[in-house]
Amino acid sequence: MWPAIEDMADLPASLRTYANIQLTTADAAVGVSPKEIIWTYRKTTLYRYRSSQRTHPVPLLLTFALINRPDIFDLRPGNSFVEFLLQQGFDVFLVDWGYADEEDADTGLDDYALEYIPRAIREVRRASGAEEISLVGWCIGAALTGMYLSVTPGAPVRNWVPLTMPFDAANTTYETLLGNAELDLDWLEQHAEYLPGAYVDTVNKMLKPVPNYIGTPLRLFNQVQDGTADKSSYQPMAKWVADNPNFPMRAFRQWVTWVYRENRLARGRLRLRGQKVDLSTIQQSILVVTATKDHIAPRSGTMPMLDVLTSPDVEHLDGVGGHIGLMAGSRARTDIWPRINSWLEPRSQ
Amino acid sequence: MTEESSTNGSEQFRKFVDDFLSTAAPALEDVVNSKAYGEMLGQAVGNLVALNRMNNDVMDLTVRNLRIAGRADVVSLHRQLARNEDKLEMVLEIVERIEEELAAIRRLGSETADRTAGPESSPARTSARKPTGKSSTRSSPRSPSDRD
Repeated sequence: MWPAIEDMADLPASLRTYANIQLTTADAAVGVSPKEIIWTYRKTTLYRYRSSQRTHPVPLLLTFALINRPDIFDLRPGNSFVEFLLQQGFDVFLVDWGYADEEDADTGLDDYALEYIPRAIREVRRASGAEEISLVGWCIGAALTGMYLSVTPGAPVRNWVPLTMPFDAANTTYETLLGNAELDLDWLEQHAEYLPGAYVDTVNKMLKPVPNYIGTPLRLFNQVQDGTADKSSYQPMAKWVADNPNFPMRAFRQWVTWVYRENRLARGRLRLRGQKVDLSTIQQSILVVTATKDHIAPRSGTMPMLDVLTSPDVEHLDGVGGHIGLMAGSRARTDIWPRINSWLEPRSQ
Repeated sequence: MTEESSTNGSEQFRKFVDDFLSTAAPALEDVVNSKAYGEMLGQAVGNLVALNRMNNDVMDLTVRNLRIAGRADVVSLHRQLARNEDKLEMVLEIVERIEEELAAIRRLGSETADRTAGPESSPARTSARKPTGKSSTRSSPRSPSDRD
């Protein structure tokens, strides 16, 4: 009987600790590696990370999706892909798309792929003095960089690393969710300048409702009760997950229509400003990275890309983890990051 | 024995919750994968966007009636700034193109001069990209629209 009473007596303390962790999540330090602003354009900012050990002449430009923040590349000290790359001697740049608002309503995927990315690359070359760069894109960032490379045969890019890139949307959950007529894109474009980030986040979380809405908080509570809760590990990820920029309406409409409703990427039917987006024209060295438990950009939707690419130097890297966990989970540092580095290093001389 | 049963009770409760969640999770995911859910989601998005817009319009009207700059005014300013940035970016690209053409002309000029001077002339200069070494904010215009 006494242990049961002890358990009950511990409950308020556990609840207090749990509440404290949740309520102070917004104060967690995310994306704190020292960096400088190199260039800005509208809401977009190009950063260069400070380093005293740059040994590879070919710099890296990291690009993330339009939804969620690029801080995932630099989540927290000790679990930061940026930190890792800097330690390996790379000159690391990151493009931050910023927080879209009403004034960005008419910004489309073509703008990001054909204006923002090439200008960012120009500024990377200017700041680093390099003739060529390595381009790393994650999720929508991978798609945008792929679009850019497809229509820019002379791009000053030596290596391309698409991480968990949505390519073939056939028979995916998103195709079902976004492909129905009830989602009236014409009406949305007329009446809204952007899709609020919170809506996008909710739709994504509802793909796995139990783990996202019950599993994660329950696991934290159990850890608090067991005394194994790691605030410094939980909070940065929780903060990043809750930080959702809006999706500019024109870009949203194009993304849904081109990628999910009409599957233009996989069918080779995508055109940007009249130019055909054909991934087979990309001749840079390519490392296609997929995640075994990715339910957002399933592995089965990325693999067909390997049949399209004709570059003489293409490799596929299959990592363990989910869409985000692949690069930001606890195993990333010892698994996927060294493998990406092994591929990049000889190609960055 | 009481301690054991209490510990077992806690563990049993956790196991019960885990079992329940592991059963509920695939069932809910099946629901999310259905066409009906997708249709419901499409309608919900439209409704939420409409509510959001109504709320924003009411707030903006209230603020404007108080003779304070509202969201629409800020957006208008933002758009003007964006147009200026587009123009600057366009100018920057033109300037860079002119710089590259000038560099090419100079290169050609010095090669011609070297050939004219003979085999003992100095080697031609090559232009190299120079890093700026300092951060700068470049905000520039979009190139003239050839967008679809």
